[in-house]
Amino acid sequence: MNVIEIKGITKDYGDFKLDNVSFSIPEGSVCGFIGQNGAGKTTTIKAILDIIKVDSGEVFVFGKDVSRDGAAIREDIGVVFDEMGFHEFMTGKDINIMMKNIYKNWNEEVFFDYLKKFSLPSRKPCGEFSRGMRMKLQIAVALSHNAKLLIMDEPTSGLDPIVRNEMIQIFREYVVEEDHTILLSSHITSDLEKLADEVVFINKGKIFLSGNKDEILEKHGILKCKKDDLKKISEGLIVNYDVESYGVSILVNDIDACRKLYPDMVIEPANLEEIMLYYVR
Amino acid sequence: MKGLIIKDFMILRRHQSVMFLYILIVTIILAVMFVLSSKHGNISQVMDGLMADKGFTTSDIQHVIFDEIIIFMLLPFALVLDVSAIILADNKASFSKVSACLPVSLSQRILARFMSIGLLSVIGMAIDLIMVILLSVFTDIAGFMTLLGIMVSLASIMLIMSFLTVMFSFLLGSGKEDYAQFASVFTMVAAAIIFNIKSIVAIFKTSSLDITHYMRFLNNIVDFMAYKSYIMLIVMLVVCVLCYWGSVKIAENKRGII
Repeated sequence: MNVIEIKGITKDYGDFKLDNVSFSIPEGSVCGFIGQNGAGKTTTIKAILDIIKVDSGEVFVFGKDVSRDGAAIREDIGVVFDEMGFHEFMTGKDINIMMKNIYKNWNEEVFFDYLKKFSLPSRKPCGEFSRGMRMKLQIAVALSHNAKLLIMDEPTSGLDPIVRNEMIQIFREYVVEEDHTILLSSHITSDLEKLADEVVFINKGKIFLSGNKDEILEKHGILKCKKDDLKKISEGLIVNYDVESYGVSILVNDIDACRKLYPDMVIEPANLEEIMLYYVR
Repeated sequence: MKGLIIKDFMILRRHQSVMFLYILIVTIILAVMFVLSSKHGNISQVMDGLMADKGFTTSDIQHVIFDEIIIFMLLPFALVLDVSAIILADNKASFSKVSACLPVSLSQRILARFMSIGLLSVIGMAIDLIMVILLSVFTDIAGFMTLLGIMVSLASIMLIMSFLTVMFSFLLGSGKEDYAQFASVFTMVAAAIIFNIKSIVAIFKTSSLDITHYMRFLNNIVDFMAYKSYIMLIVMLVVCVLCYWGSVKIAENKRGII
């Protein structure tokens, strides 16, 4: 079953357009939503949450149309944005009072357990928290109402590697339960490489690649050759290439085919960052 | 939805709690001073003097005193119904990011704001009620029902202004809370002028020394507030429904922008 199913959504802002975006995320998976800043990740997330009205297309979450059942669907979604939206004077206790009067499934015991686990003081105004603490507070809120889907928009950006690793560990613990799903948008591909099962690449409002992360990594590779050898490579295999002083680096989309066709050439595995860079160049 | 109302109260508690206590104390002190002065002090002497020297009638004097009372009674409402402070705090914290992800529809979020305003006005009324009781029991200025009528009218006026501020804040977008408040005040003043245009023209046409029209105008306003507060209440309810509907429509059209 797909937890999120997006069918051809379009949103035109004039200077930016989300263009016929379609992808789906299976239940129990972690989906990395990859793209550079301004690629359309946040706009897509807003469409999933029914925060913006799309010009065309449909979004289904848990099999329900978000434009009709948005409020009810959000009961089962935990959301973490890159910036905390709570008032700076609010303490953990204040947030608990507010949220327990909003979410039907709010569990204050779980919330305070998370605050304790994340070493967040419950009586301190969140305006005095560091960036890492603020993100952890948002995660504590997102995980305290039995959410089955966690949507996070750049949660790890601007955080130091230690806090980022801590957060990745938290997400790993969250997806241990089979019906828990994560959509994690980021331009920090190393985090997604550690965590994601599925990946969706977006650039200038268009999805250019999506699917199982391991399959995508297994298919793509960096072929190194001399400048003169570039012409020998089949165009259908080349995603993009980079001319360097010592030769050419080519991102190919079918490693097995390349190995058979060009057994003498060196083909190295590509990581998600390289795949993104070559595709968007 | 209840959580959003609680959050609005938290904002006011944070921003206005000291001022709230101050106004509560000032209101009680003013009411007591009014009681004492109208019996033994300046108010009593001025009332006698105005009647003897300027030819003011008892009714004129009573209305002048009502004007003063109206200003005192307006203070608690002006403080607790500081809607723009709530909107400003929400915008500053980018709270719309949080609220948009909650299991609450857009219309429910706006309804919560309107309910917060309604509940806040109850606090203003509670403070004013102290003054109403003190003045009606211990002075001959007016009876309980007359002062209660003024209180209901004032509450209605301030609620209308608050509802308009919410609607204008959706219309003008975030960061323009001051303009929204100005627009609501301007709308109310414009409406008041249009409904009283004949009396206002009459005041400006007469000599500056003749205060008859001016006094009649003021007396009519005070009488209207005191004895026809039900009209203000009905107007407030109509404006409330219209502003809620308008706010939902505007917010729906601007979804994702505001």
